[in-house]
Amino acid sequence: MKKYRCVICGYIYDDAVEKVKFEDLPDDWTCPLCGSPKSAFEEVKEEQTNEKEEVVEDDEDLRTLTNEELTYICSNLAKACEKEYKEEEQNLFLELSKHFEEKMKIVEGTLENIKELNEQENKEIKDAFSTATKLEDRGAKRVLTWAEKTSNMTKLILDNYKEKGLDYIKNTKIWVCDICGFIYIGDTPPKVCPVCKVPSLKILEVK
Amino acid sequence: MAKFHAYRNLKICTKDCLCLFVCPTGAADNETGQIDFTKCIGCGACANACPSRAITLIPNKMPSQQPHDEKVVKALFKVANTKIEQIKILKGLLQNTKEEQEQKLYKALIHANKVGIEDLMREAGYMLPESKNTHELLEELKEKTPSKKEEIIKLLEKLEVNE
Repeated sequence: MKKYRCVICGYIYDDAVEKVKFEDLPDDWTCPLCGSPKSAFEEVKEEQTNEKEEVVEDDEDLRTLTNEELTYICSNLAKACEKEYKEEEQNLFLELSKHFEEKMKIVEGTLENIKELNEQENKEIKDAFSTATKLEDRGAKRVLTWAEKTSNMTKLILDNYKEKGLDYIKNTKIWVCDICGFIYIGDTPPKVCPVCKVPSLKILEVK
Repeated sequence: MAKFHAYRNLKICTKDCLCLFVCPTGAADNETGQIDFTKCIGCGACANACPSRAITLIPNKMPSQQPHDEKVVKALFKVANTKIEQIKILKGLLQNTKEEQEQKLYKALIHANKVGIEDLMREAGYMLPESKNTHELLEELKEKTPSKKEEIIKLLEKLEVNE
């Protein structure tokens, strides 16, 4: 008897309790919690617990922040002001964010490049998680847990889009969780975000 | 000085107005719909009484944000920058397509990456607008960004450093 875990939301499919073995499920079967395809499941190996705990060294010095980094530092601080109900400060930070975003360069590329960067990102997230584990930084581990799931999700979306083309997104809505970045393709988003567990009112339809 | 002030979340407030009954200073009752912060003494009576939990007590001075080791900060920035590279390409792809559904997919991926980067920045030392870190950043930007100097000075004045 085997167990399988959804890499997006963590749902466990246990052959021991289900009527149908995972292997025998049809190819178009989807995760009951988040709607991800069958390919998003990986077998749960019990000895998987020995988390690697090493600090990944990076000798690059802290340098001046780029316009892109400033764009998102400022938009994040605007969100923080919103949470504290500081509307004027929120708008000032948004103004700054816009200023830096206008300087951002657009790069020519393809979805293949995005796929490569997504793979690189996934590896960097795992390295960062090891560093955060070793240094006992729970906050960083939290953001990286969400980041890993959304990066797995991006991979699935890119794979599906490559395979099925426009049919994959035709006649359907696309949604993004405004808290963690989870993307859902379908008519009605899940009641709760499968990655960060926020209620669906924070899952926004892309217009 | 009061340690907290009450804030009414108008998206949730169901106008039961119990806060008006229990507020000892009349701060909860005024024509703007918001609490009068100058009258509020931060006692929390309104927040406790509110049936829809629409009132929050916010500290006037936030505690220091959690420290992060430089190695963790570097690792988080690395992930953020790989996401930034994706946004740069996605923005180009978005400009070059007329197909509406394809545009939506690119917009979704841009939004998802943006949200992710913002969260990474939060854990990389920029959680609180009142933090020393943010203050130092603004001081630096004040000189380097002359066209936004006015806005930056306003932020420096309004955001009192909490540590």
